[in-house]
Amino acid sequence: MFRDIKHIIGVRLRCLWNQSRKVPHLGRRVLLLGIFSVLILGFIFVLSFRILNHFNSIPLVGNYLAKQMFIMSFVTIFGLVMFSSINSSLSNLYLSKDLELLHASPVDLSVLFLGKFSVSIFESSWTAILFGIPIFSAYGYVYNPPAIFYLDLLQVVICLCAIAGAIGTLLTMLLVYALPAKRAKDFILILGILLFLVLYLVIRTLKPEQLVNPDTFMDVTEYLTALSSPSLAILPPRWAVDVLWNKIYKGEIATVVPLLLLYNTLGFLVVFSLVVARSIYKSGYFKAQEGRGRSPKGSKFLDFAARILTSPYPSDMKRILEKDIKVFFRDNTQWTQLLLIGALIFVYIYNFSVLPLHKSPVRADYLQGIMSFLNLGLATFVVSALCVRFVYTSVSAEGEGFWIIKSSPIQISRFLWAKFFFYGSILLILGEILIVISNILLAVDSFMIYLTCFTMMFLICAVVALGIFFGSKYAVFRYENLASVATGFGAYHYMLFSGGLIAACIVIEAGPLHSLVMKRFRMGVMELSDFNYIVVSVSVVALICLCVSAVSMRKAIKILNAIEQA
Amino acid sequence: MIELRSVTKCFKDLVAVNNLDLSIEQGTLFGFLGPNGAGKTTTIKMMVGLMRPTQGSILIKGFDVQKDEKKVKKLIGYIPDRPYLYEKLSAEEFLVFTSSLYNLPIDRKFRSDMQKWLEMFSLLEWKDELIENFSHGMKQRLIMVSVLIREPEVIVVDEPMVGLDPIAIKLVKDIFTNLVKSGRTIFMSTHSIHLAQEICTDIGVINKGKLILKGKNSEITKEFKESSSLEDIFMKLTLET
Repeated sequence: MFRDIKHIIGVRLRCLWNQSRKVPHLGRRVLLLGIFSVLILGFIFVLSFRILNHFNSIPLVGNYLAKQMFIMSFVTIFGLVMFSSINSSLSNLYLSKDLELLHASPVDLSVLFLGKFSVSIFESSWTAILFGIPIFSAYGYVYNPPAIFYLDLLQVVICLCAIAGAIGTLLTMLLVYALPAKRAKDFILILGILLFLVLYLVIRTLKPEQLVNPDTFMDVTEYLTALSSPSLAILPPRWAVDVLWNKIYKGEIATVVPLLLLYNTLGFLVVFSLVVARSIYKSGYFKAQEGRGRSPKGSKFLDFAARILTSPYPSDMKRILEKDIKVFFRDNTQWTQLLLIGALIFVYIYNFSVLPLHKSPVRADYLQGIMSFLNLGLATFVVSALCVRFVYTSVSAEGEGFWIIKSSPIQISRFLWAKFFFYGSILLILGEILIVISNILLAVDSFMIYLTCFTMMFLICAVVALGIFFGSKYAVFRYENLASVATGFGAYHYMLFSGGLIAACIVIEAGPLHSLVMKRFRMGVMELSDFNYIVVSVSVVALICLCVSAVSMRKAIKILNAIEQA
Repeated sequence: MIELRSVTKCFKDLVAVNNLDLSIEQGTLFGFLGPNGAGKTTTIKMMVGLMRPTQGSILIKGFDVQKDEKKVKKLIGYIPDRPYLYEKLSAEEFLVFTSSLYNLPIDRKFRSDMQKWLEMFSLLEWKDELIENFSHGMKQRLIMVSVLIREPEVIVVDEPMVGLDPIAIKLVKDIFTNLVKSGRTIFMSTHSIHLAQEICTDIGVINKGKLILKGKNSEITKEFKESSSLEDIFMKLTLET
């Protein structure tokens, strides 16, 4: 049985291995990816380390806060893996292309289920584990626990992720079985994303930053009440903390009971999932096949919206964009991403509304000026993150139907410029809204608002054009899910480039703007030379962005023209 | 109408098409035969601009595929062997989209033509359905409609009958025969020797990237006196080379 399960998992690994061997310049790519990952993980480590150091310096409640953060980390990992496994088990157990072959073969259902179940758990948990490494390393660095802590940490994290993954898989199986076949997959997909959103928004609006600032509370009782988390004693993240915390804090040996609880729960869930799978998985799979697709009837609103949105474009571009809009909104894996963007924007703006600028020892107008300028970089970075998901994937989104464009008389340049103007205009509006609202919340003067809006316009042009260039360079026309394209190597490469461009532009404008802010801080009057200094730096940024845009688009057109055998 | 001049296509060390010379007159239904991996699809992809020849040139109605790409693509209707379409569009939306790529006005005439072709290919009742709900054969029929609706002067078709039911096969055969009679040119790659023998006016056989036989359908069997059918000739030639 285990050999058969190994085969099902092994074939997936073999495919990945073969795919990676075909990747050109693999060594260079791995190196770049490694640098990018190390930078991000290093940033998380430094941040966690600084927070823990800060906690260490707070008498009485410092360690209590560190423990709370420890619990929060496990609860977050548990929640993320559980929600992510809803989608990943749906994909692995019901949608994957190899299922037809496997179900048609004499492979035992238990073997098939356990093989796919393992792959699904791995897929849904590896990122959470990866991002957990720097956080837990920071704990290790600050508290210096005995070496056995790391061994316990490893088994606890694996158990916790497997438990969360099993719960997600069970939920998916029950939902596919219970819901009407036609919409079961859509519903589960949306449910997974909505649950994630609720978790994300609830955590942010609870203002966890207040916990490290006792001054914001009326008295000690209120502070301690806020600190006390709801009772999690019967939940796996709590057991995980119980296994590890005493070891970190006091160097004590772990209590066996919570570790046993974790292993027992995992064992029970695997067996229970198998029992449930044996009775309902196959009928759920058949239902999911019957419910394939849906009718576009009632899509008059979509037709109307597509017509309105594309009305400013010439007819050839209009048709391409109308098609893109319809395809996007009919694919639930696509439009549901808009919910995530909505939440991201909400939290972005919310963060500015709760910034405690008035409590800072530095004068507010100085801070406002600096924050407004840094906000430009941050907002552009948010836009480039959106570009990865939508602009970068827009060429690959043509999928295997790309031959239709290639064999038609429409020029590739028109095809790409249509995408540039369409996504560019939407992201420009979004970026400017982010900048204006956050600047209003920061209460900066109109000069700063105009300046940042103007710079943002050019930065977005460049970031969108870069997205199209990298999207063409790393175009993938065969995939199971378009979202997976946005997590590939090309996407990291794009983020490195756009991040570098944003940083360079910020640096160019930083000098003149800082001197302006300092002059105001010292109550000085802005002179013509200051103004000229700013005009020159902004012009240089605009020129760089326009050059990057032109070169990126030219190269993208060349790349797609040269693509063969789409 | 179609001219291939010393066309060669290499993929690294592999020569997929080797110095191919071919000339096809207007009003010809040319059957391009060959075993798997002979270079049929590569040749077709070069003709429709999906690939570039390593050497040589391809002319369609006197226009070079590489130099006058836009003009050539307007003249050609391409039907691939695998029906990859935009799955989230309905059949009607797909036809409107592809036709607009060729600058066809989406007017009353277009709508009535669309109705006619969809009905002919038994797709009319499916016109509002998403393509993802279509079977392989239905997708193949839809691609054919998207090409025929434009009435292109040259139709390049790769394995047209794959996935089609007998009724659709008969329909396609009749349509192709009538189109050729009306002066259209069809370049059709196929594995089916019987199909080629039945409807093609001219036949070419390719093996290992080289054209090993070309001639009028009626004359080829006469030429090979010892072989009774095109199938025998095909077997003989491909096994010899």
